[in-house]
Amino acid sequence: MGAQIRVYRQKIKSTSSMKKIFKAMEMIATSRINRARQRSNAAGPYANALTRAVTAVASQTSISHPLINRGGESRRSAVLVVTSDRGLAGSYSANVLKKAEGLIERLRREGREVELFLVGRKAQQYFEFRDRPYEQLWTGNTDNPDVETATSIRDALLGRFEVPYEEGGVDDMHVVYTEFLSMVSQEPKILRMLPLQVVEARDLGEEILPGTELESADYENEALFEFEPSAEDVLDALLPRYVATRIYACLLQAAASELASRQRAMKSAGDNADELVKKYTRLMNTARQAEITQELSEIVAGADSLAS
Amino acid sequence: MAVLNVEVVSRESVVWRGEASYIRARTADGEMGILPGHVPTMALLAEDGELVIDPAEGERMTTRVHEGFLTVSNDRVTVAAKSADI
Repeated sequence: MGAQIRVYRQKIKSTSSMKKIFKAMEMIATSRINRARQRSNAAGPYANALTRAVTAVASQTSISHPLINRGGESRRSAVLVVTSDRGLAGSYSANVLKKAEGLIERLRREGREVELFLVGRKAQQYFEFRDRPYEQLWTGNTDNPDVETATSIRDALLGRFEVPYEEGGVDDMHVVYTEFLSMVSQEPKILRMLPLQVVEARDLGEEILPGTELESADYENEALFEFEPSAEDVLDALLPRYVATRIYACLLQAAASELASRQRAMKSAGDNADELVKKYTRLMNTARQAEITQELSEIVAGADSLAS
Repeated sequence: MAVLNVEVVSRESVVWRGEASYIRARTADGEMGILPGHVPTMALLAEDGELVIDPAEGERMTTRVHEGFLTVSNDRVTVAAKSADI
């Protein structure tokens, strides 16, 4: 009997120490979400300036740029999958991977080859476990992405995009990431990054960084721009930066989503730990009561046998 | 007198925002000065160029911008750069 109480006491102890860890991780995630959102907002003005400029150049001139469109059907696609480095974030990575699998399946059915580019150790584990090759991998800072990572991803992808299909290049490129809608809702999304579709500035603005709307004074009803050195050069220089900015925006969104998922997962883990402690305490009390009752009845029985 | 509404942004943040009477930047081809009423322009700035801002009030400021570009329209000037320090 005493053994049972000891077991429960141990369980209560380990569960409450786990609860402390969950609580700490929840608090860390909460404080980091705010930082991630601030960074997403801080990157907004630059993204808006770039978006407006690219839209203006593309709509005022009739240059065709290889990044904007190129003829022919698509035979090979690059897919960038943005997941997290660590788990303990509920179904965050699993949802992104599921979405990515759906996209890969669809592209294959359309007769395209698919090349994978991965962000986050979770994606690496997933594809390595299944023995599926990937082209390139970025890990180490999924919850706190920096511009350098985005630039390196951009360079890798544009490098593959510029090579013609016959030499192993890709024809288009998709990003699977998680959009941060609110603290309680994040949604895995597929974004077709390349070739770029330059549409109206407003549409793009909403797409590039949710929450940072373009200001009303856009470049409508205005005289044509003068370009220096030339429209082609400006577009040439701006488009790669534009792609990097959009990738960076995706990474920031994914980071905020990861942290929000982790916070939620840790909160419910902490709540579950609470429940367990309560349950074990009850069981322990029952066991103790049972022990006392048994001891009492043994004493009474002993006294009875002596008296008779 | 008309003023320029200036915004200097880097990839990570807004570096400076305010009104200015004159701006000088180094483009790929040479120096470029902007006064209020400038024709709408979009220019690539030099790799590592100097940007001089005369604010509406206060001292002249000089900054360095890396891989930037500049747009002017309706007296709104936006300088967006990879990095900029004031």
